[in-house]
Amino acid sequence: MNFFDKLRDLGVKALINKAHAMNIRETGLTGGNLADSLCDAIEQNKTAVAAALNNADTDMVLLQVLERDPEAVMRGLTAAAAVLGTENKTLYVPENREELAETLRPLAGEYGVTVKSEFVNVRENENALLLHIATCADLAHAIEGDYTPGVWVSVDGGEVKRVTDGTKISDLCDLTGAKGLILGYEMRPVKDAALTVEETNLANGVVRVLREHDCVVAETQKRLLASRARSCGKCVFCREGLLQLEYEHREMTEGRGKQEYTDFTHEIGEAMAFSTPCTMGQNASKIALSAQDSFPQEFEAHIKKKKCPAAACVKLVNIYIDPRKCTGCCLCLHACPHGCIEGRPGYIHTVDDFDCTKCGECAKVCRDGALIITTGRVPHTPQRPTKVGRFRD
Amino acid sequence: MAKITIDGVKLTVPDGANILDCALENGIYIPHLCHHKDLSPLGSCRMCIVEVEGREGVTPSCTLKAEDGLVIRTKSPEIDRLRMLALELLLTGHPEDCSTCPKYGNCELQMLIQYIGPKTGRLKMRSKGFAPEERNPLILHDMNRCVLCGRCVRACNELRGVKVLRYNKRDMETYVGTLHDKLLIDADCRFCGACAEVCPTGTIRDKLIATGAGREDAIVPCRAACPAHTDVPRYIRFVKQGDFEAAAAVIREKAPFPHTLGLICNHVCELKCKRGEVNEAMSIRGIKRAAAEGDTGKYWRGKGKQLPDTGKKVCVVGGGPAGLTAAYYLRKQGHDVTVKEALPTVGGMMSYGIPSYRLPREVVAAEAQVIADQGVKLETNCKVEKPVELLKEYDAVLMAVGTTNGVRLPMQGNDLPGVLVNIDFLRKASMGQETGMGKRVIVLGGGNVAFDCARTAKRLGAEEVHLACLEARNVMTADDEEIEQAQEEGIFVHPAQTFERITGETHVTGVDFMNVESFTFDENRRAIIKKEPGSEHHLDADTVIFATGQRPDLTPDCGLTLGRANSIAVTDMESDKSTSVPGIFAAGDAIYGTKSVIQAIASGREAASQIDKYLGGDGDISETLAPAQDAPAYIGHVDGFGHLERGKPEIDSAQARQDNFNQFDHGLTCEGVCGEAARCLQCDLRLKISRPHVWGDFAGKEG
Ligand SMILES: Cc1cc2nc3c(=O)[nH]c(=O)nc-3n(C[C@H](O)[C@H](O)[C@H](O)COP(=O)(O)OP(=O)(O)OC[C@H]3O[C@@H](n4cnc5c(N)ncnc54)[C@H](O)[C@@H]3O)c2cc1C
Ligand code: SF4
Ligand code: SF4
Ligand code: SF4
Ligand code: FES
Repeated sequence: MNFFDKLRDLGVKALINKAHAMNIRETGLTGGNLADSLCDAIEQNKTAVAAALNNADTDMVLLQVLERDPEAVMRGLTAAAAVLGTENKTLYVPENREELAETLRPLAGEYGVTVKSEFVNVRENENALLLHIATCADLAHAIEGDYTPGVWVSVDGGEVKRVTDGTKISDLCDLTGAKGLILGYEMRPVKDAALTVEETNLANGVVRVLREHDCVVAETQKRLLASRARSCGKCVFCREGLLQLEYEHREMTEGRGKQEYTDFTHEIGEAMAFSTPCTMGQNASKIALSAQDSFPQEFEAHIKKKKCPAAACVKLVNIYIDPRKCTGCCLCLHACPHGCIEGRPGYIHTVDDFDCTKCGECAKVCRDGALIITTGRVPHTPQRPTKVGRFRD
Repeated sequence: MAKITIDGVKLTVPDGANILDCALENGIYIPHLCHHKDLSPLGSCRMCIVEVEGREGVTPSCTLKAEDGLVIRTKSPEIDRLRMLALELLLTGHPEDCSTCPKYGNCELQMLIQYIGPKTGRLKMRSKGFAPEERNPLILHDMNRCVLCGRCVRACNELRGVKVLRYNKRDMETYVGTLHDKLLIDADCRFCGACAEVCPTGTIRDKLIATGAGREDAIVPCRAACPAHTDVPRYIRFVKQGDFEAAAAVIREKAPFPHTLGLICNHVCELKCKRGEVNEAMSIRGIKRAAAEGDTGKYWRGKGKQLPDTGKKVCVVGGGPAGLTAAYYLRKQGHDVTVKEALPTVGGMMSYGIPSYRLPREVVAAEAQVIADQGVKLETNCKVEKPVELLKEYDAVLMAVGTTNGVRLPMQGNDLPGVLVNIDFLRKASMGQETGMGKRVIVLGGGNVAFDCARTAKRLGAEEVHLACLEARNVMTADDEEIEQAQEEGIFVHPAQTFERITGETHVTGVDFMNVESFTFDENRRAIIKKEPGSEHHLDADTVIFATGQRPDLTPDCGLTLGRANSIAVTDMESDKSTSVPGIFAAGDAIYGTKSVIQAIASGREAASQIDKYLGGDGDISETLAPAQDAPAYIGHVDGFGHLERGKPEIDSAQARQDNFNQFDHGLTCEGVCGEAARCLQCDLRLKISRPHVWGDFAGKEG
């Protein structure tokens, strides 16, 4: 039987019952029950359905659900629209994915779905039931009878996979050397790996293990910057709040952090969450708030000691060549993209600090472990050309 | 209706009404920035937050809808804290120094800062680094000052439907601009000014900012420039809608000679038309002509105001536009009005000065008939020598005698046979009388009157017509159109000439000229002329026509105090037209020198109002004739709007027009008129946009 016939035979009531019976949870921030959302939407006379990723989502890994099985998303969207008795169906793909929108349009046409490559304007969608793309896929599977309760997850940037409820985060990833986790929109301590996927709000499907060389502050700054880049910039708190938070974190990674920044993060970050109408503004500060709560000592190190414990903040680390280990092989000299290594065959090489961007390319090629990246001080190194083995302090 | 309470004040407002608007309209100030009464609420700035009893946290009042029983608080420590934070954040991207901003003193943001009083120096400040965009006509964009309230975007999109402005993003900075940062004209902006009107800051602003009393005039400059303040955009809109009768009625609300004006008005409105900044000014006169020609009088004939008779008698001396206009409105105020005109028909310069190829006499006659039909008595061939004596018979007298004496420059040969003067020459030509003109004519003067003389001479059969004037070509006072058409007709134009002497013993034989090297004015406005040495030259002619000005035909014997250039002295040119003799007023060219028909009409209206008051009336001569107009704010998008060209009238070839007095300008074609009307920027629509509510307006009212 074709999908449309199936949908018609089922009818609105049965559809909702099905969603209810299968206890389909919404992917995304609400994490609520789909059947409830559908009922609420009917009550509120919503006249449209839109499927999208969260505006807050800057990783966009869950887009794979759509890319892999667009038909399921179209069907789920169509089913939800049928529940509301509307023909107004929109599928949003991220604003920079017009080419994806274009490839989806022929199929979308069959389902009467409009595809837009845009950031979701929540004000224009006041009358629409907004569903996550993945929720639509789930609904379609429920109708087809092959729904399994679970969530979509991408671990450390890997492919998105379906994980059944009850699975613990620790079952998903290797925690050796882990110092923290990014779970959904937040940064969490390793102990949270004991939680199950449904206890953790993985609204964007992201699970990432932070290890020794991942800097919590720099990671936060990067994610704030990504949010800034995606924010539509219409609301004061989202636009200006993000700018302030990102600026402060950048300052910290560069050794200019100020004590009051931690208070600002709370003051601004908390206000952002309830002073904006869309998921971007509501969630973008979570990473900063949670990072500060879970890793106060890392912030302290950056702000007070001007040190990056992960040795990842280039402005806070030093790089030098251990004169005792250097064999004068010249490998690093050729590897340095900025030409800041001095030396010649058989002589001890040195790093010219001035132009060094601390990219670490030299350390990657050195076979003798002579290139040292440290958060500590740099010992004496030769001031003039010195043959290998001749160095004395 | 919903009963709500705001800060303890009980209000009954419509269900679903915008709470912020309700508060503001009821005298309760809530600070706000992104909200504007005429635009949909956005809720982005968070200045307007309030607390609702029974609900957690704060909520913006601009997106809050009225429902029965709402209890709202607009002030609390938490509200203050969050407002302050919002404003602080907002200001991090705004220049700190206000004093250099042209909006200083009128900026809503500045007033908000004064109200909320933000802390400074805590957060990271930045300059957004946008260069001001000054290449657009009329409107300037200075995006560094933008606080992204989004009012302009909503005004352009939802209020106007033009859809030019949008949010753009570059280097992580959101800003307001056009698609691909096109210039406004290329984005099909309609230059309606709504964006500048609603912008609370100095970001999108008029290049010419006018505040206070001059604001409306600056916004609708055509109407302000018209001496009679004809409601230009309103009648243009009627023409666009195809309702020419209503358009004519609009004009008639201010001037009883719409058709005449449509043909010969000097259209100062067009000089000020904002469309001129975009590409070419509106052809306002062309549209007026079409309106008048398409009119049957549906809305005004036999309608309009006519007050009951007052029993007061007024005599108007001079039947030109000033006199006829005053007579018309005085009659409408209920007075018994008689016009005494020296010549055989009324109309003044409209009948005897302006040549008939520009203004057919039937047009003037028909419009004068309307005035007669209103009950004004017209006595022609009746020259008044002693105006003061009229006071024996009349309660008031208006002197509207115009400037009917052509000026002969004091120079050798100026009274030789063959020397004529403008007014007499044109009058005789108009009346079909012998003018005394020969075969080779030199007109001295460079204004429109000089061209009327030259072109009349050509049409009367002169073989060679020259026109010489002191001014250089680019500063000649005649319209370019007039000069070019004359040249097409074979008239030789000689700019920058001094008139040395008229030669001849018993009759004119020509004129000696020298070339002008420079022609300037000193601080006392006296002309300083430098001649080119050795440039003396001669032009042969048997006729010289002085077209170097005209003055009222008055002598001190008339009993009135005269002023400069023989004009009648009045107490105040506009507000008090009484003369040295109580009961005698004066208006039109007679008081200020030759200007224009519309100026004479305006002067006549003012005189009518003042005389009415003098006679015990209220002086209110205004009337509403046109029907109510549907003027949609939603003007929509028009492809290529800014580049639409000015409509061109159909004009007969020089060959066809130069030997007869037939009207040769046939005006805009029918479709041409509607197209032309559609070019109007409708500057007046902007005045319908609500003015902002600012803290200062509430300051006194709150306890
Ligand atoms: C040649 C020429 C061309 C012009 N072209 C234009 C143009 O294209 N557009 C434009 O807007 N303006 C034009 N003007 C100017 C315009 O015509 C005048 O400014 C306008 O007519 C002035 O109106 P008025 O009523 O004050 O005087 P007038 O029109 O001069 O009328 C005065 C009337 O009073 C009468 N009168 C004078 N003395 C007496 C008396 N003692 N007793 C009784 N009656 C008397 C005169 O006969 C005349 O009819 C032109 C003027 C001239 C001379
Ligand atoms: S159409 Fe009007 S509101 Fe839009 S940009 Fe132009 S002037 Fe501004
Ligand atoms: S230009 Fe003015 S109206 Fe437009 S968003 Fe900026 S501040 Fe607001
Ligand atoms: S565009 Fe229209 S309303 Fe504006 S000045 Fe010109 S004629 Fe007047
Ligand atoms: S949020 Fe209400 S005025 Fe801006």
